Amino acid sequence: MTTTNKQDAGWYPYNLDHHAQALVIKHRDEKDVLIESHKMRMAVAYGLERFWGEHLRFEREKKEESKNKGKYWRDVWQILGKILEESDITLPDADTKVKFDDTTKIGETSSAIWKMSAETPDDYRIALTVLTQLCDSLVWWTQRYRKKDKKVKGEED
Amino acid sequence: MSFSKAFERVGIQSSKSKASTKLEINPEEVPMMYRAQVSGRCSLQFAGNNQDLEDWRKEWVDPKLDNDPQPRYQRKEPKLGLDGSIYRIKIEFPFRLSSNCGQDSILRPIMGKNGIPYLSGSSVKGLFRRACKDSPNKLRLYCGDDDNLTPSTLGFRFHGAYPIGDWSGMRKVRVRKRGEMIMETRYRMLDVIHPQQLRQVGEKDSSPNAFAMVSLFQPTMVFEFSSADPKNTNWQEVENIFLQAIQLGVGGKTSTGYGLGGHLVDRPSEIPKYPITVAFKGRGVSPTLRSDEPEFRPNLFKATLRGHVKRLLAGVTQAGKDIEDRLFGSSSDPSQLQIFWQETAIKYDEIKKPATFSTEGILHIDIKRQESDDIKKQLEFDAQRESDLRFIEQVLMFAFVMGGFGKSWRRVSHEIFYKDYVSKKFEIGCHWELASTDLKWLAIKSIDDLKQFIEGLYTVCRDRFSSQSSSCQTWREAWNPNCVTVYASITRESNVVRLFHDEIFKKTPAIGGRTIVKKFNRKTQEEEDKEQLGFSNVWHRMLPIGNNQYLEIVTVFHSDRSKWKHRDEGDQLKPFLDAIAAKGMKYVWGNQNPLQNSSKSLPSIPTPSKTQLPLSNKPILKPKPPIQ
Repeated sequence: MTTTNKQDAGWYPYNLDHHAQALVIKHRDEKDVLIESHKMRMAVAYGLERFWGEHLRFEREKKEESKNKGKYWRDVWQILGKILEESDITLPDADTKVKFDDTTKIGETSSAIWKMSAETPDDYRIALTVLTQLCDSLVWWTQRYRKKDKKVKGEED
Repeated sequence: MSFSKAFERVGIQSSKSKASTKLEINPEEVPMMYRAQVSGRCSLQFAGNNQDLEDWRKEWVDPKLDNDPQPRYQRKEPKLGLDGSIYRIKIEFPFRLSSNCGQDSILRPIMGKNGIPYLSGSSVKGLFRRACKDSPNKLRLYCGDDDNLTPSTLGFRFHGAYPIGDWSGMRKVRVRKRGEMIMETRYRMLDVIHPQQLRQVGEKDSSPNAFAMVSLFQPTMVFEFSSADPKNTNWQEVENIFLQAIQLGVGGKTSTGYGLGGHLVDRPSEIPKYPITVAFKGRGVSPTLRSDEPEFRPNLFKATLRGHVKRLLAGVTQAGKDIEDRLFGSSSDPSQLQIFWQETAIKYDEIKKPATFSTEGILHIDIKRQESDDIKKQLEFDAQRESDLRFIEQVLMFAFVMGGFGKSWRRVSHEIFYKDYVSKKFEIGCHWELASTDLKWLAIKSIDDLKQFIEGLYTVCRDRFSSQSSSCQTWREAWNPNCVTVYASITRESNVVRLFHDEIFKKTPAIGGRTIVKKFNRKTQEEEDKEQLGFSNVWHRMLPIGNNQYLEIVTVFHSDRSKWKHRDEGDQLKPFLDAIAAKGMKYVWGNQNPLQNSSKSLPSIPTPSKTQLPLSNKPILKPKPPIQ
């Protein structure tokens, strides 16, 4: 791992791997939550707005399991916000204050995300690239740390 | 599809050009798939009046022009058979096909290029492996060796499948809008899942949500295979194994008929060889899709059977859930019960509202065989399957004898038995008969036969499933002889049907199924009486017994006496029972003194009566806890 000292010119990995490892360890004890890592990696293809919306979708559901999944998505968004902050990129709703029943705020955040892609397309692309890399790391750690449910059949070890 | 492509499609310019250009992206123009999947931005989950869902569907499959010869979401037919190293097989499906990609808040297939659904190669290989399981050589040849992890010796590949032509169920219909007849394009790909067993059986009074899902409507699919040595591959054998493989169904929800009956274009459907087959004729109020399109959906048979198994178990035990889930599936395990409805005729009358159907077909039912390496365990599995099959066949008889299948099954078809009503209003109820080829399937010709049949089935349930504590559920329609009474008479026409339309009876919740509730009206700022549709506690059936005669059967549930109260006229149970007695109805089975039934105490399970049973149903096994 390289140091996080910004003086070092050249390639800078943002410690994505460490963040990912910490997130996976944090959520590994909840049932079926880590499956979401793979879905996160897929959701990246749809861009930032959809990715951001996933934690809200889960939070409005009644099931405890869904709420836990929502927390995982929310944590990933928050970490992404922190990582981008280091390079002076502001991620909309970085502290995930918006609630699932607040339609106005949801609309405002969506607008902010698309505004970012229109006015500072480089920032948007960097955010998406970093998020993609972070999700790759999440998947990697998930494959190592996930607890297998005994009832799941036909899964590879 | 890249971002820029997606945005070009909806007329948004890509920001790729120069960083300096300031683009206005209106969030309202972002395609549905790229939005946050939450209500307020894009909610696809609910099947009701859902504009987001309509917009999403439009972005997915609307052709650019009305007469577009090749819409984007449709794929042209490629060369079939051997084409270079690829071998293609074309299969038609008579009903729907469902596969789930696991993303989104809605069940939908994996989308390939241009939104054309795609069935993964691994799913096809799974089917193929299942068909080869008794032939280790073929298994090694085509699928590879699972134990030693060696690949297919032939270099055989499964490339998955995709639909060709229209799979979205597009059709043009004439509809009346604002007094004018116009042509409208409708799509049947937006399917509905409408779980209601909790409500139907009286376990809960909740109103169930209807969920949307996407399924391929009567698709023609092309399956692709290849091999490292195409010239020396026995493609005919591949095709035969494959046709055998798809008999068990392709994709998901096969237990309710999705993905079944696939066949080559010039050959009839391969019918799965299931142990229970019965040919029925039925008519009644048609189930509808979200767009009010009528569609007779085979999953209603499974729903009906599941509901009755719930009722029957609830009458003898409080622990029926495991058995129900084992047979019909749950969120953790698939259904052991397999149903295939082989439709031979279907007609809809859409002029009327609600639309009606009349159909003929053969119902095929099986229970999946569980396998074990342990011989003793295998014998147990097989014995359990045998008694399950016998039980399910009797439940099917019960459903047929006491009511019907599908929507409005608690009532007789008014079209047949109360013509005056339908000519003024609309169709209610349904009517099911056995096809002439299968009349021997059910030997109920008299009130005595009926009594013995119900007693026999109840005994089977009690002996096989009742728990030590001999307690049962308190649900509205738990099938316990203390809570229900069955009446019947032999007749040529319905004597009772008019009673359901009697001014007082129809406004009694237990009979008319309507409850008056107080609802706050925001406009007037006052509480108002509102009619709420619920379920009737009375079933009515006209069972054909030959010679133009019927057994008219009325089943009355009376455990919840509050439902029998008319708002102004008081308890209606006695007047109703007097009224059906006056029409010649005789007691058959259940509680002989329903008027003394108090709903306060939990009904007990009566001791067996000494009736001679017509059915030799010695239970083989006590129920086991579900297999972990």
